[in-house]
Order: sequence, then C-alpha cells, then structure tokens
Amino acid sequence: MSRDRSISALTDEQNRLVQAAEQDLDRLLSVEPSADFAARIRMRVRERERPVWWHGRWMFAAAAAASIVVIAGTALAVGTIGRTREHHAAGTSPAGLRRDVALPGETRRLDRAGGGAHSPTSVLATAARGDSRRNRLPSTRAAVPADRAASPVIVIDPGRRDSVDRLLAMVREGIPNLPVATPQNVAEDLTVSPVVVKEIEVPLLLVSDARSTAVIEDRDK
Amino acid sequence: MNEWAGGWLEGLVTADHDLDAEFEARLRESSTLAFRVAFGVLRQRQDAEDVAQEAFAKAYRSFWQLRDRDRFRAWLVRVTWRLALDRWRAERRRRTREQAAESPAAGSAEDAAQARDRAAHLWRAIDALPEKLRVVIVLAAIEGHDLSEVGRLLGIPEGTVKSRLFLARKGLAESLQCLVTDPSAR
Repeated sequence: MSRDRSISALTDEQNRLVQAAEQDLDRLLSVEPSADFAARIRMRVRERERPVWWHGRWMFAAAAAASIVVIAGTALAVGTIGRTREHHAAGTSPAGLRRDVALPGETRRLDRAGGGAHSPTSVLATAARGDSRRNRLPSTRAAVPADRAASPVIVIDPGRRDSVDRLLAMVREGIPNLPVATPQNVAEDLTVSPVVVKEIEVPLLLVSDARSTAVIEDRDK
Repeated sequence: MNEWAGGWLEGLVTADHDLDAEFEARLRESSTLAFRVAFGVLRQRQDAEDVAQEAFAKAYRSFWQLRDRDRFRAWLVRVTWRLALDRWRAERRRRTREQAAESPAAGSAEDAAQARDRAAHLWRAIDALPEKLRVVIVLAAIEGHDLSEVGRLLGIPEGTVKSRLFLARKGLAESLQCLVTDPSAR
C-alpha cells in the first residue's frame, strides 16, 4: 500500500494502530493462488458454452452472406436487363416493343376489333412528336422503327371512325373554304370589340303587389 | 466465390484466435488480482479461487466489450468483489472465517497463534466498515495500488478514494482501539 497518504487527523495511538494494521493487511493479501489456478480458469472457461459474442459473430456472418446473395442476384438481374435493352436497341429482338405504343398497323387492328378499352381521347404515342416524356423513355424510341417514325399515330374511338374518315378524305381532297389556323387569323378572331359603358335607367319598384305587377307589365312592353 | 468465402471464414477464425490470445494475456496479468480481491472478502483460499474463476468465466463471455486493459481490470475487480460478497453472505452462518484466515508469516507455534489473533482482530475491524470503505482499503492493500489506480478500478474520482480511505482508516483505528482496550469485545 502506498504510504504517502496523510492520516494526520488521527491521534498518534490511532496512527500506530492503523499503520500496523495496514502492514498486516498487506501481508495477508499477499497470498498467492494455487499453482494450477490459471489452468483451472482456462478449464472452466472451456467448459462454458461459447461466449455470446461468438454466436453474434456467426449471426452476423449469416446475415452478411444473405446480403451478398441478394446483391449478387440483383446485379445479375440488372446485367440481364441491360443486355436485353442493348438487343432491343440493335433491333435484334421484337420482344422489346413497348405495348403502350400503338403503331399504325396496331391501331387499325384495334379499330376493327372494337377495342373499347381505349379512351377515345387518348393519344398514346406519336413517334414524330419530340416531347419530353418520350425523351425520358429511350426504349420507346428504340421500339419505333425508323421508317415509321415520321407518321403520327393516333388512337381514336371506333364509334367516330366514320367521321374521322370523312374528315381525312376532305383534307386529302381539299376543302375549298376550310379555314387554316395561323397565328394572324387566330389573333383577328380573338379581337374583342371595345366595351361601352352606358348609363341605364332602373324603373322604380313599388311595394304594392298591384303596382309591381303593373310595373313588370310595363317593362315587358 | 469459394475462395472469397474461405478467406472470410479464415479471417473470422483469425479474429477468434486474436481475442483468445488477448484474453490469455489478461488472464495472466489479472488472475492474481482477482484472487486477492476475492480473498480480501472471503479469507478462504478455495472459495476465493472459485469466485475468481467464476469472474473470469463471466469476463470471457463479455470479452468483446472488455478488450481494453484498464476497463477489463476494473470490470474484473468489481465483478469479483460482488461475487465474493454474494458467496460470503450465503455461507456466513456455517463458516468461521477467523479459523480459515491464513497467516503466511507464521514461525513458531506461539508466533503463529499471535499472528492468527492479530489477523482475526484486523478482519473483524475491516468487516465492521461500511462496504464502500472496505473495498477501498482492501484494494489499496493489494499490489500497492495508489489512489488513482484504486479510483480507476472502482470507477470513482481520486478525491473520493482519498476521502473514503481516510474514513476507512479512522474507522479501522477506532475498532482496533476498542478491541485492544476491551478484550471482551473480541
């Protein structure tokens, strides 16, 4: 025990007793364990089941292995999809055509079959239209053959097919006075005549029933 | 893949061996400390060894949290002290610890009897101390621990150790004075 600690608050007699007691205590606690003490500790440790951290480690290992399998599977799937898209871009597989893109041939087929599932106003795709939505769908661009890309495709209600056919015929044959909308004539059509504010006279409304009826009749005239 | 998995498992086994090696090092340097702490409470060699073994078995189970040397020793001392107290309380009635107390410095039979008598007085005085003071004075007597080392082992500030040690010495002196002046109190 270190002897540098002050015990000045004790009397001389107490100091003597404490110092003697501490020497005894030092001696009593200097006892050594038996020679095979460490070996018996090792034996007891081995007798016990594996420690908790060991089990935890194997649980962690199992979880890590499962994660690796999932990641590898995902990577394989992504690779397969990428290869498929490359095939589609190269035009080697017709399976890549998007089914939400109606090509002219398909449109006619749908019309004949009376495909009522399509909304009459839904124009699904126009290969020639360069809108931003198409730009975000490279597979759509890849699915439309180049020779058809110039023709707009419109899905129409089969019930209005005759009307549309007539309109198309008129357009093809040329309609004499068919107005063509240009920015200029649209602006002319939209010209609004000036607003004139006039003072109006409001007839006096009377409370009496008979008189009010007379006033109303007078107004009607 | 197989090579990678094999390397990974090999890494696990290597880490396992590293931990075992560290535990072995801690066992070599701290086994006597644990034994003496237990002996300070139980004063009986067999019981003290048993309690110290139990403490090490517990330490092995949680060793992944106790790899730091200071932390391991502090944890070991506290667990050993607690286990020893539990054992002492369980066996208090059927054991006469004064008879079991050992006196390594015994020379002749008369010296041995005198040393046994002094040891019995001392243990009785120490037992009369509150537990907080008792553990401080016992740890300070083991392996020459100074105030800061005792503080680290118990997880308390050095000033607290100093004040507790002073109170423990005062209490010890008063108990011993009482035993010296009034032999009937033995």
